[in-house]
Amino acid sequence: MQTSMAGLSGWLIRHPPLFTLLLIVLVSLVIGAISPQFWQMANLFDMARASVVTGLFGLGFLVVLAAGGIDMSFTAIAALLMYWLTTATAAYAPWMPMGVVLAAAAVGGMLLGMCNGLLVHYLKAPALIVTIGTQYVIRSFLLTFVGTELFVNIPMSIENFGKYEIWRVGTDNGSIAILPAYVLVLVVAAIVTWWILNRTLMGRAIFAIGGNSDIAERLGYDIRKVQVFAFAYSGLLAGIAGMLHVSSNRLANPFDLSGTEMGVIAAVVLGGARITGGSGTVAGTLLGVVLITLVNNVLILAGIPSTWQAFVVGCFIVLAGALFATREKR
Amino acid sequence: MATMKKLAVCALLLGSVFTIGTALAAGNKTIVTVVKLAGETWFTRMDQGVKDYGVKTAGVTTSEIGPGKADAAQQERLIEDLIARGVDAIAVVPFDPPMLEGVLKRAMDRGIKVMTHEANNLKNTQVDMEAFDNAAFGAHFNDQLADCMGKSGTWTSFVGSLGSLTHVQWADASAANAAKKYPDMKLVSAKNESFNDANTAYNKAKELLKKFPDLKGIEGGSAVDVIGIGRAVEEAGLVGKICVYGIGMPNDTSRYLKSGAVNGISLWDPKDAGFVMNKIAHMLVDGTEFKEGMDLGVPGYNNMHVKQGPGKGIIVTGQAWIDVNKDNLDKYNF
Amino acid sequence: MEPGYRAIGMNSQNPSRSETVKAEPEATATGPFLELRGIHKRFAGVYALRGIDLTIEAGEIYHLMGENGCGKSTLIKIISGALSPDEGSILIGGREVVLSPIGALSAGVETVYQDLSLLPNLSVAENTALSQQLVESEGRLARRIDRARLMDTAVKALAAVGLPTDARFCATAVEELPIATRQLVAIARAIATDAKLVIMDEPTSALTRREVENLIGVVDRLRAGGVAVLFVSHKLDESKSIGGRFIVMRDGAKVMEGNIADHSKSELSYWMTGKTLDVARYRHAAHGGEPLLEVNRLGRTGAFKDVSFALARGEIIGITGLLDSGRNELARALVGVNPADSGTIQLAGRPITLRRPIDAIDAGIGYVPEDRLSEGLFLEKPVRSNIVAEVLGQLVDRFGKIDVGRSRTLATKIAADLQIVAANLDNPVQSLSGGNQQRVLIGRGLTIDPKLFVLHGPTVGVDVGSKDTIFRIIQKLAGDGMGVILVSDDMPELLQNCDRIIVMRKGMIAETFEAENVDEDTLYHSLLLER
Repeated sequence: MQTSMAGLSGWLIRHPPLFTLLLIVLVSLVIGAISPQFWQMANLFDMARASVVTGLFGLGFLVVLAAGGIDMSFTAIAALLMYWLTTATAAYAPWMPMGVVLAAAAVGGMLLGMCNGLLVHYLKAPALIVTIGTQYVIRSFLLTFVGTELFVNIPMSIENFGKYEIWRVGTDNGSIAILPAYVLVLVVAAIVTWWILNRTLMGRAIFAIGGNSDIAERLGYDIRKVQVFAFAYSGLLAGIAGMLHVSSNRLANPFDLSGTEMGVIAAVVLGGARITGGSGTVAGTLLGVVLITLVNNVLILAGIPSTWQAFVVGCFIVLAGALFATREKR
Repeated sequence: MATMKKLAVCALLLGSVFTIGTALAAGNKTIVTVVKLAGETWFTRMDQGVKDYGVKTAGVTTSEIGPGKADAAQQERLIEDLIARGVDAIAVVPFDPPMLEGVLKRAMDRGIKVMTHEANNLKNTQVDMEAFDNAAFGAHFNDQLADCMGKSGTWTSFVGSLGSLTHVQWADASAANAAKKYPDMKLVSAKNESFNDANTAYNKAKELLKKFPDLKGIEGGSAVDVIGIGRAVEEAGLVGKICVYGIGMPNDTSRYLKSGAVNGISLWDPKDAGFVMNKIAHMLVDGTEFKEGMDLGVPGYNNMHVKQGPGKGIIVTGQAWIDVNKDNLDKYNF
Repeated sequence: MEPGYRAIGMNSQNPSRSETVKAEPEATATGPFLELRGIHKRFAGVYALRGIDLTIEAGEIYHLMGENGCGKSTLIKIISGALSPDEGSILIGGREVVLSPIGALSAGVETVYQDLSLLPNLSVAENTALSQQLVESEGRLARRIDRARLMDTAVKALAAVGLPTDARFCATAVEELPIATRQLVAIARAIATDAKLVIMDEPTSALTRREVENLIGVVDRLRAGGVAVLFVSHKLDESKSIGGRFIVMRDGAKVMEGNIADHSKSELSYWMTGKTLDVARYRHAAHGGEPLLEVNRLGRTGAFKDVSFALARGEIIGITGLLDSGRNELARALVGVNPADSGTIQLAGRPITLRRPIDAIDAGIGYVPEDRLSEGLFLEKPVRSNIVAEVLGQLVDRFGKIDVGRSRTLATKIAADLQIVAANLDNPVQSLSGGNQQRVLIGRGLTIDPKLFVLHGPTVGVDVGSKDTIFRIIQKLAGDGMGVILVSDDMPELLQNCDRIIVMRKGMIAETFEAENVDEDTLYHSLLLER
């Protein structure tokens, strides 16, 4: 028994995402046992829908973290672009198709991210500090110059994008559950991120620099290029995530998304990425996002008061941290 | 000798600065309204009333400020700044009333007049103004909901957060009202927190619909709750099958009111509240007495009820709620 | 991006030579691979290199020797393109070139740095073969990785250095490998891409003798394949057993070169230091004073067991063995880092329990750890703080603040005693040479006024001159009545310094020798017995 336990924990230590998967299964079993409604297609749809924004943020954060940085500004980037682009589109070009708006958000996010990357590179300052700074700057710019009011009259193209359906099922109480098409954006982003990280020189350069930037530089990897790319990629995904948030929420609230950074970071770390950089996988990150979404959204089904959700997430993080710390010490 | 001269000049200068300062203060009373969150639609509307009072009343400068983030600590810091600036009166809509006890006491110790809104559990205030009795307002929601539900079935309620006293009071009064008058209505999983975020309200509403397939009524707590709840109901194809009532802003909620996903919203006009808050603060500065049944000059605030608060201060209450639905929506353009 | 490397100055000074190159481009195949002519390099006006000439022939082995600070590292950086010379020219295959890091790599100059420069979180295959594709893309990163080719290159290179080539090993992260294997991975990377010259900076400092022999085998194979190898090493014995040519540098200039087999160790060290060093025993008389340390049946599960020995005041005992013999674990148990779980230790007649390092410090046991960089020194902190780090408790004033004056006095005294050469004791310790860093560590051990001093590999990565100083310090400490335990795999070091040498095998004491009556071969033989 003892050896099998030791074998299990050793296995989990070597494959951190499996630990996350195990937690997901455990949480699902527990909630499912308490509340049979958990095992509905509708619930799966809701989980997928609620994972999209966190998932996009998480993928961006993963890339920055793998390169040895930390990005705290992605929610501010997302909030600025979603609010700015939504109000501007509504005011000047309500006919603009969603594809163009999404592209603009991606480009805008990329540019802001590049600023982050260049600042981190040239100031030689810790990315944590720099991006906390840019987060404040961007958010304050949004609230001072762009606007502070809840904006509900969003352009039809943006609203309709959030309404495209892939699949629709009826549920027991006569209501319907919808799997929205924008879930596919996360799927595409995950595949692209995986491809970049594992199949391109840039991907390996990201891990090389996250592992040890001095050595990577000596071996001929261009640190500036990698840092700028990582932050730009994170910004790009943040821009897209912001627009999806508006599109699904059908309103643009400049105060939204603020404060969700910690949940994203928790998801990526629960997905097995080391906070010190140089590691992490797309699959692990997605599992971490699912776990966080699960805990944040379905504890109602188990009749757990919302104040306890943070407690559960906290316990998972401590548990995962302890497990992964064991891996470091070996 | 030269030193003496310099000192004399300094003393003179200092003296004149004081004189000018006092003169300014005497000429223009400053009242600052501190709200929960700058820029939120609700408080933007309130700002109109605040400004309005300043414009219509001679000898008073009024303004509204608020933190960029719904955060009690930031609100406290704003008030600290006002104490340092030495304003004449502060009107506060506290985010989390107990958190402000200390700073408001300091303000009063410095001779600054303090009035509050939506904080009838706060000790350190001279006057707390409630647009209406919260228990009556909560019961009013519940009566509307009961009519819509046919006085029977499962229902639930939302609050912005468990720390938002008024939200909790409404939810509790609703629950008490239902328990007393409608024995066939069953309350489940009460007081879900939305954290003033429509998307959170949406996600929670979806979960509630799953957990309780027979759910027939939902009451919103914060002003954006009904937006999220309405969307969840709409997407689940349950419009007309589930009754949704709550506080809300007419413009923000209009689409859901029109579609029927939200049956009705009740509110008090923040513009009027802002106006009345500043009127009360001004009365404090002038030392005017607060009498039972007094008229503050705004509809709904014509017959104020005065009672002792939890501290030394008093609570004044009006009857200023309005009900908005699909039919009368056009009348309220804010 | 820089081009790989470009030929320059073909007609500037020596038109006739450039014509020769043009006329006979293939002649380079038999000429030297690399030539340095009159290389000068200054840093802030100070000469690091003065007119170095060097010729590297294909398939030849070179040993670059010299004390720390003699200019070896600067020279290597110039050859590997990390620095460019102020004067002089570099010729590759007879053509003058300007080298960039990527340019040097594409010219076939590969460097295995002392820290190996492996990326800890990447796999063996990636560490071995990814550079090839990076060099080919000239540093551009928007490229797909050719994974088939990556594996192909990695497998060939790994096989060439005798490492496994299975998929599992290739996918292992380098940080999970033991140091000797990492060394071989670093070499595999160096030869993965048509290396013409492999520079190895102190490649054996972390290896045991058996691992060194394996490495020598790999080097032989490289040479047979026409690859030139340039060693930078402090270990004269090893250099002699590898053979080949040597270049001795001193003060930025080349002072001697020749065939290493033709010269004795004392000649080589004379050229390196400019003075005659006593390479015979430092230990002259046995010092059997009153008993100090008694270790009885000491054991730690999975590391060592049943270890008993005694040490007298003023005595020096050496402990050696292979890496897995338990010698390192025994040393750490004696200083409370990894405590023993059975047996007893008596110090000066009193039984002591060592559960944590602080227990050892309190008992009066000083310790110089094995790896000064990761275990011992606070690299960014001043020399002074590093010296007094163990006695901070005694230096605080009544307000609980460190008394800077007293700390300075103590550090200054220790620095003088140990001949630590530092411009300023407030400079960070990482600004010192390896030998001086080691002395800082010894100095720290001495601040607690120890009765017993445990030195773990005290001269690893230290040059000949510094070694001499450190040995003299050790002898003086023993002369003053301190008991000394020297844990080391450097046989000459043990033979020169100890009274007795304990050889450990498989976690137990295998044999104990009187140092005066034993030679290196006997010791090695004992070390490797039953293996």
